[in-house]
Amino acid sequence: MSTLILRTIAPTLTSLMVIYSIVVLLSGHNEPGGGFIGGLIAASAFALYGIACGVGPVRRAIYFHPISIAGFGMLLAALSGLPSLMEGVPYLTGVWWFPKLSKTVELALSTPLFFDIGVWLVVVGSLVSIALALEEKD
Amino acid sequence: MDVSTPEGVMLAAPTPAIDWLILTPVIIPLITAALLIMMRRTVVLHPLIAFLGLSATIAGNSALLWRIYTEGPLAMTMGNWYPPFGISFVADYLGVILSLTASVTVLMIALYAIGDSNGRERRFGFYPLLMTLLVGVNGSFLTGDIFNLYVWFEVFLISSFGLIILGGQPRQLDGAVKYCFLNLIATTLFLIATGYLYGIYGTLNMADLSRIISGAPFEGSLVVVSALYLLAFSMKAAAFPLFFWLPASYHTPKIVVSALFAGLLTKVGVYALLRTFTVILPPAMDSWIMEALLYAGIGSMVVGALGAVVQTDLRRLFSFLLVGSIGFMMVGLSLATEKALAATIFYMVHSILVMTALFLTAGLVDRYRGSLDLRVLSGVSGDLPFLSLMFLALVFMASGFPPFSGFWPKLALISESLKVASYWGMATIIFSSFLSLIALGRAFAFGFWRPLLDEAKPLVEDQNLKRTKFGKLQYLPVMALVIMAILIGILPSYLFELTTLGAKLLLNPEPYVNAVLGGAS
Repeated sequence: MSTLILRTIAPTLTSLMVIYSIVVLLSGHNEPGGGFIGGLIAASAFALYGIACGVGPVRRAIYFHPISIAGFGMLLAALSGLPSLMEGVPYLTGVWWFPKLSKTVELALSTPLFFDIGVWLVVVGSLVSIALALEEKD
Repeated sequence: MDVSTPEGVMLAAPTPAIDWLILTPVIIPLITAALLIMMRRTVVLHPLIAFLGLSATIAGNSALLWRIYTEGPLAMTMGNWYPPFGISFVADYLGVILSLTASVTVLMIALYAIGDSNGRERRFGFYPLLMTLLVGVNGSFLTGDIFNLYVWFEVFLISSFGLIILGGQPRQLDGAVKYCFLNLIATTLFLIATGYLYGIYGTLNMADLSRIISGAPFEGSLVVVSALYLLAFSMKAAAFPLFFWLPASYHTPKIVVSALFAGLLTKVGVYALLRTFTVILPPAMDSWIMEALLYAGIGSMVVGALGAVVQTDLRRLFSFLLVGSIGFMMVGLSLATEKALAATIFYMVHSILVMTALFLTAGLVDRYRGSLDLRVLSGVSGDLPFLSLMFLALVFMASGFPPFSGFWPKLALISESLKVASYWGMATIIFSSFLSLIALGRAFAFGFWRPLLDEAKPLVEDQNLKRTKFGKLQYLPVMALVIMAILIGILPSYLFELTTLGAKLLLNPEPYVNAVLGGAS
């Protein structure tokens, strides 16, 4: 599979796919998308990079072990339910912050967003781990 | 900060912080598991973190038990959705007693595994899987939504798949295939039944179902759903005639994993039966379902006891005893009186503690002898008198000697059987207890009591070299489990008080329903 064309285009394609997966992740609250589908896109990006350039470069590129990334995602998702404790509402209730960056720009942060990021990390971590294990054997 | 409030969907009353206790049995192990997964490079610290996480879980669980003891059942619906739509967690006595017992058992398993799991097994995720298994089991005990129950079943099943093949020997894969296959069929039946239930009633909230179904005639689609649930959960619980996967797979994994499974997993199946046929589908209580449970229970007791008598491998012997013990619980459920259900819950607690302790004892014997075959195993009491004493106590507990813990629930079940004139059940309880005593007595006489056989001597020499520095620490969890079981046996009235309250709530689920739906609906 490791042709010159694929090896040349793979790094560019991988970065584009990862960026797109983040766009899908962030737009997921109000539009189609979200952590799960975004995570799938990012995982396929890393799988593609692995096919083109080998497993070693992928492991170096993501730095952490994929399973650890999944573990961090699980932690983030579990913790994202806790801020609602302060508000006197049940676990996992959406809590929103609107920090003002300037007079006109307002940022919408919420616990569902962090939950979704957690899901994204779990999907990326577990699927990259499986994909790399399969690619290593070949 | 602002709480999102779409109109007409949200509850007005704020949730007091103390209600969050209901989450501790699930959230604390989940966070611990996540931390353990992240720390895959420093597996040396895994036992310590698991210990801290489990201690916090037990503390939370105990506080939750105290909270429902003082103020009645407690419910929380996730994400602040109105109950039938959101996923509810409900803490009643049955669920909380069992989740507390499960958390304590997993703590003992975690302590035992310090000296029993090597670095490789820890890197493959022994401790994280242990914690996620507890998440699944506790989630099953506390959830108030039947589809969510399915999800928690999946959580602990996936963890158990990982644990059962830890070690990667061909024999373990063989056991794992049987285990996975049967459990997947059972889970699929469970899912199909849940689909029907939703199609018929349009809700999956247990309290809501209880409210709608109670008083309905037991006919038509309700029979189909009940039969499917009966089949699915009996398979999970390893009841006769669907028990064969259990003795075929439980002797293959690491012994500490066998102990964990024997203690917890089948009991989740029994819990699901208890919950389904009392709270969720009350009309089933006066139907042929109870007779089916009775005969399945009688069959399990007979098969379990007879199977235990003929086995020569200690772990297979215990596996058959486990099948027999499921029979007692099913007979208890089939009687469906307050005292019988209280005895059943009591028996479940007893069985979790004693079964885990029996398997862990087998693990210690295996460590010092290198074999669990009763044809070779001999002379343990000479080398390890203390271990033999604990095993003898467990023999008495498991076969129901007074004043040990197995005796009281069996006594209550027998007297209740007499009251409702269910003589077959009563006769089988006595017969099966007697055979269990023979099977275990035989194991004690051969393995522990008789002098060391000549052909076993080389094994002993070989094994003594393998003692590790944590060898003594492994006695601690077995000892703790035995002491807990002895305390339950000597002072049964405290536990009986709690289980009677639990049984009352199963037979009259009104407080349970009100805790979830509030007085209004």
